[in-house]
Amino acid sequence: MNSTIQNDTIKVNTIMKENRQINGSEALMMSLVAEGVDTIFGYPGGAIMPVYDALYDYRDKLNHILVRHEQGAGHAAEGYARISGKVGVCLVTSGPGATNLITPITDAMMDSVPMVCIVGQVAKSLLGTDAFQEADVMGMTMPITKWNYQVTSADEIPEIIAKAFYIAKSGRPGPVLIDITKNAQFENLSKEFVNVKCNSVRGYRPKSNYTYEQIEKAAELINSANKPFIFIGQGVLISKSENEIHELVNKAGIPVASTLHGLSAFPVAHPLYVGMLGMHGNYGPNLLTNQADVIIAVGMRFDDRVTGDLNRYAKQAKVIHIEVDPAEINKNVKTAVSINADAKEALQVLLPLICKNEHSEWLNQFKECELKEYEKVIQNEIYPTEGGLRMGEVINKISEKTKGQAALIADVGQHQMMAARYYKFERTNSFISSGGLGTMGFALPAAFGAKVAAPEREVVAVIGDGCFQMTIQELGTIAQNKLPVKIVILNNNFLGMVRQWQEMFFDHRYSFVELQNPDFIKITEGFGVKARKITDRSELDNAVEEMIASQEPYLLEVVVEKEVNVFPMVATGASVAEVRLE
Amino acid sequence: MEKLYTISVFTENNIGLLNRLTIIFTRRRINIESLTVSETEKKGISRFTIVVRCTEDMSKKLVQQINKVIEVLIAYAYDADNMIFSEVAIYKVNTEESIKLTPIVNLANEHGARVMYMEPGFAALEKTGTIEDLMKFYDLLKPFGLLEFVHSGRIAIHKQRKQAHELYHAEELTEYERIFV
Repeated sequence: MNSTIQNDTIKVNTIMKENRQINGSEALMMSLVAEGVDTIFGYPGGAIMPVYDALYDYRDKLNHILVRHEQGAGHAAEGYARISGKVGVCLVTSGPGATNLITPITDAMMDSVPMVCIVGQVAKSLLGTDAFQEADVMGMTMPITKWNYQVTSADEIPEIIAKAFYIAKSGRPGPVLIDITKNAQFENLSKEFVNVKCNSVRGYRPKSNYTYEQIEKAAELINSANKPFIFIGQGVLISKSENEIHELVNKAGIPVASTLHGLSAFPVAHPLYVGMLGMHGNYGPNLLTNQADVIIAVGMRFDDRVTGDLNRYAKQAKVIHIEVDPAEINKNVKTAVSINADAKEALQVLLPLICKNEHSEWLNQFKECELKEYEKVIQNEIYPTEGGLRMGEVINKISEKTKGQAALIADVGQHQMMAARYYKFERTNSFISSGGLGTMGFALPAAFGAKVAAPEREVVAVIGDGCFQMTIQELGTIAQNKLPVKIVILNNNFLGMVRQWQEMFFDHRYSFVELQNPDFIKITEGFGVKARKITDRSELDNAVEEMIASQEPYLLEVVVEKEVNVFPMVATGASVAEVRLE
Repeated sequence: MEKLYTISVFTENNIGLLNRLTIIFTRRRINIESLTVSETEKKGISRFTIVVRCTEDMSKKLVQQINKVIEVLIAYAYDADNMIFSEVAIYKVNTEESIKLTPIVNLANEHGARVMYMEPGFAALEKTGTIEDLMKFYDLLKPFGLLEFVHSGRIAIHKQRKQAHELYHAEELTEYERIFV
């Protein structure tokens, strides 16, 4: 059966220019334009050349950013999608082009990023023959995409592209891959081109599924709680429910903590904001999770990095879980009330039932923890008086100079956790990082993707020396497109997070974590990007200022203390209540 | 406690669905005990019947994950008490010594099996039933000399009068009728 007829699609427009025939590639261009796409991150190759040929005529409508590696295209599309809320689009060739996208696709799947990947494939007649640059991309990407589909005839393109965008952005967003055989790109449509809008797909029902009784029960629990605690995740950002969370927190006087991906959904300076949850989150939120009597989890999925040992996680609490993906409810943590809904919708129904309240005694417990953490950890990290530069103080300086308004793109490792901990987010949708997959090399391409999406925003990428070398070639993309991204390399000549674990849990046996780094400044300048290196605390203020003031792309390398650990820490297998300060 | 669960999955009849579904079990290291697929009474809709041994909690989580697959219309899991299920087996029995033939045919009649095929030297018998019934008959035939034995995966329907589509996805059924009637 032709799967395309299963969609609830509406023919919205008919385009037939000068009675000429339209091939699959041009139909693809027209479909992308119809979906509101304005930017594509891609890399051409043999099996996608007809599409690139068609793109030549659409340069004024579709801004194509030529990356240096397909992985860069994927992460850039993620950065673009995360900052804009739109669907990120990447375009690559078959075989190695497609396999190079595997990492960003998995990353997007883990972090619920809407992305449409268009991949060339050998001609239908060659499928399964081990033809040049043929790879079973459908088989490979099935477990890592929200949906994938192989287009083998040009006629399918308008409806499949409409369906792809609908699936990628609706419900819990995710990546979709469309594999288009070369014959489908070449051949003419057998009928008139018709733009199609997809509004539903049979079997796929991304709609809320809760009862008013559930909301009432949740409200009752919240109103009668002595130690309520709100957790916010990326779902708050995706559903744009920051205002509703703000209202809930203020009205009910409940302390609120964020997951890594929920950062920036709530202003750090707010008196009821108590910090970040998880392995390197704040002391109070972790410790007191096991004392809260009611937990209201909104748009988060109780990842193991947040929960620590599940058997000793919040057993005393009644958990209210507001979550758009029904498969996440009761997956890791058993709930007292589950509300399967878009966070904004659920909160809007819930809010009128919430009573004005305050929990000053409970909040004081957080303040006490905060003080303890400040004395033991924070003070020395952001205001050190001796030794080399510390990552925390660099992040703190960037936070000060950008007034908490920048979009911070963090790579993966110690610097990521420092960025998450010490940047004082004052603006929503300002933290982008690879959370679920923990992909080193994510930040540089994601940062220019974010900059393309929001050119008016200050975009600062915080990258470790190890991560930087994984996608360093994307400096070329930044230079060619004159994207004024600010790149901060926190260089400790180590794979810092692995080293920290080796120090703490493997008896200081530093197995292959020390890097002989290249001269980052020469490399960066070789790409035509301004760069500066600092090694001393006295240079920090001026260097950050210079970087922020730059109208061009700019790289600041900061040589930091070699062996610094990120604390607090909940060790793997430990309970959140066993969070360590040293 | 682990026991056998039968998971029924109604899907679009699309290429690659089998792979998409089995991945869900493979990545959780859950062995599929049996799997059957066929088109349902509704054109274009396939039904997968998948039998797995797991806990009740895991069966629920598997169903949730299966329901996330875009082309899946609905999936549900039942334990044996709530299902009507059957399998079919074919037994190839050695009949070279003609004296064996009569007791074999008698045995088949007694146990509701039928002779599907016969030629000098062997007979093929067919029997339907639960896996326990099929294995019991297997044990009875064994002394005669079994040349080959094969049995299908489980097919199953729930113990309620309504059609699965009506029970679980009334909206999809309506949409289906709109498209295909």
